[in-house]
Amino acid sequence: MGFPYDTGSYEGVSGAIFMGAGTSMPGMFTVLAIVVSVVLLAAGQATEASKYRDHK
Amino acid sequence: MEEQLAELAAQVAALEGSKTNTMFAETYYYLSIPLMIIIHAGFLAYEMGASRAKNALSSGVKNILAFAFVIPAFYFFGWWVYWGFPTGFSFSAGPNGISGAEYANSFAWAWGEAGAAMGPNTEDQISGVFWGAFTLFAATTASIFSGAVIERIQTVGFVILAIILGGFSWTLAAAWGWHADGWLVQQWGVHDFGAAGLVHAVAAFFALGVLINLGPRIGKFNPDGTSNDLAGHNLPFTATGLMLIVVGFWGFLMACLVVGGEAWSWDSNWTTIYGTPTNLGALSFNILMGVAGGIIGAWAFTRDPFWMMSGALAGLISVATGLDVYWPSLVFLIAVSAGLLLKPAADVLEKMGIDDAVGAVTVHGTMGVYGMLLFGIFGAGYPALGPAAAFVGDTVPTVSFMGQLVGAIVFVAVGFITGYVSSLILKMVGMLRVPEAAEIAGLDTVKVPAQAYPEGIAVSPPASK
Repeated sequence: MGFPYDTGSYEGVSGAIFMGAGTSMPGMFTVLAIVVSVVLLAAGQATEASKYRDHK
Repeated sequence: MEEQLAELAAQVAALEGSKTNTMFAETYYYLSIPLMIIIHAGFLAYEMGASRAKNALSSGVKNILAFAFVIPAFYFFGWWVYWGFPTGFSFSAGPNGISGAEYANSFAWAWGEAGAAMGPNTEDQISGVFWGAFTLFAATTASIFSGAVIERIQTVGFVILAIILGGFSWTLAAAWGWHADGWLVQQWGVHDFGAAGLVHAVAAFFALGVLINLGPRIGKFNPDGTSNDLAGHNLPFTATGLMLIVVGFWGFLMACLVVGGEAWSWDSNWTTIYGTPTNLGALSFNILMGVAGGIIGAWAFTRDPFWMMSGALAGLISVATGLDVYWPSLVFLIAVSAGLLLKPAADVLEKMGIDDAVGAVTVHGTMGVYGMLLFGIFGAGYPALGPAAAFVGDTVPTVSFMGQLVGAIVFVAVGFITGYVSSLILKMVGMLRVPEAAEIAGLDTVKVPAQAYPEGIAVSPPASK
C-alpha cells in the first residue's frame, strides 16, 4: 500500500493521505472488516447458544 | 498615511491572530495533562483490583508513588535527556538545530539562566505545558511497568526503577525515535507517531528485565512448571480501570500532535511530532476503530472481560505507530488480530516462567513491537519527516520495514537492558524483593497503616418500599 503519492515527500501534498488513497484497497479492507465483524458475531452467537443449551 | 494605517491594521490583526492561536495551543496541551492523569487513575484501579485483597492497598501505594516520583525526576533531568540525546551519545546538535547538550542546557535545566524556561514566566507559557505533557508520557511508562511486578516488589526499590524508566530509559528512546533530530528518524526513517515502541515497548521490556530478576509470586508456579491463576480480588474494578486507561489515552494521543501556526510549529496546520501532516480527524477515526477491534478480537478468543479490556489497549497499541495515516478499516483488522493474539502471547510468556501479573509485557511490549513492524509493511514509503524539517542527506528518509525493525530492536534493547541491569543491582543490595514471610502474610498487613475492606464486603438488606 504505502504512501499514495509519487513525490516521496509531503511537499505540496494536500487531501487524503491515508494508505492506498485513490486505489481500490481501502474499499477492499472495508469489505474485509465487515466480513470479519459478521463472522465473529456469528461465532459468538454459536458459543452463547451452546452455553444456554447446557443450562436448560 | 492610509498605507501606514493599513499596514498597522494588518500588524495588529496578525498579532491578535497569533495571540489567539498561541493561547489555544497552550490550552490544548494543558488540557491533555489532566486527561493523561486519567490513565493513572485507570492503572491505579486496574492494579489494585488485580491484586489479591491482602495486597490491594500496597499495590495502590506503589502505583501512586511511581506517578509522584517520576514527575520531579522528569523535571530534574528527564527533560534534558530528551533534548540532549537525539544524535546519540555525542551530545552534538542535529540538522534541525533543536538538540544537543548546548541546546538542552539553554532551557531544560532547572537552574541558572535556563531556569527562566523551567518556572513561572509571563513571557513563556508553552515551556511549562510542553514539559507537563511530556512528564505525563514519562509517568505513563512507570504505570505500565508497575502492574507487572505487584505483590512481591519492595516499594523503594520499585520507585528507583520507576525513576530510571520514566526519567531516562523511555526518554532516551524518545530522543532517538521521536525527536526530529533523532538518529533513528534521520538515518532509518523510524516512524512511531503514537509511541507504540518508544513508550509501550520500552516500558514493557523494562518490566521484563525486572521480572527476570524479581521472580514469580509465591504459588504462581508448581514444581512441574505448570502455573496457577492468582486471581485478583476485584475484576470489575480492574475492568473499569482499563476503560479509564483507554479514556486517558485520548489525552496521550492528542498530545502527540503538534498544533499548527505557532513559532515552534512545523506548519500552519496540524502535524505529527515529525512535522508530517495529520489532524484530530485522523485520530478520531483510528483511535475508535482500534479500541473497538481490540475488544472484539479479545472477546472472540476469551469471552473474558479482563482480556477484552486488555484487548482494547492491545488494539490501540498495535495501530498507534500509524494512527496518523492508517485507513480506519485496516486499523480495525489489525486491532482485531491484536485482540486475538493477546491471550496466546501472554500464555507463551507464562510458559517461559515469567509471572507478569497483569499481562503488561504482552499488551504493551509484544503488541508495541507488532504494531511497529506492521507499520513497516503497510506504511513503507511514507516520508518520515515533514517538508519543514531538515534532514541528513539528499532525500527525505522514508518508512521501511527494515527501519521499523531496527527501531523496534533499539526500543526493546533500551528498555530491557536498563530494566535488567538496574534491577540486578537492586537485587544484589537487597532492595528488590520483599521477604518470603511478608509476601505470605500480605503486604498491606506488613506495611500499610490502613485496611482496604475493614468491614469485609458487607451485604445490606434493601429498604422496604
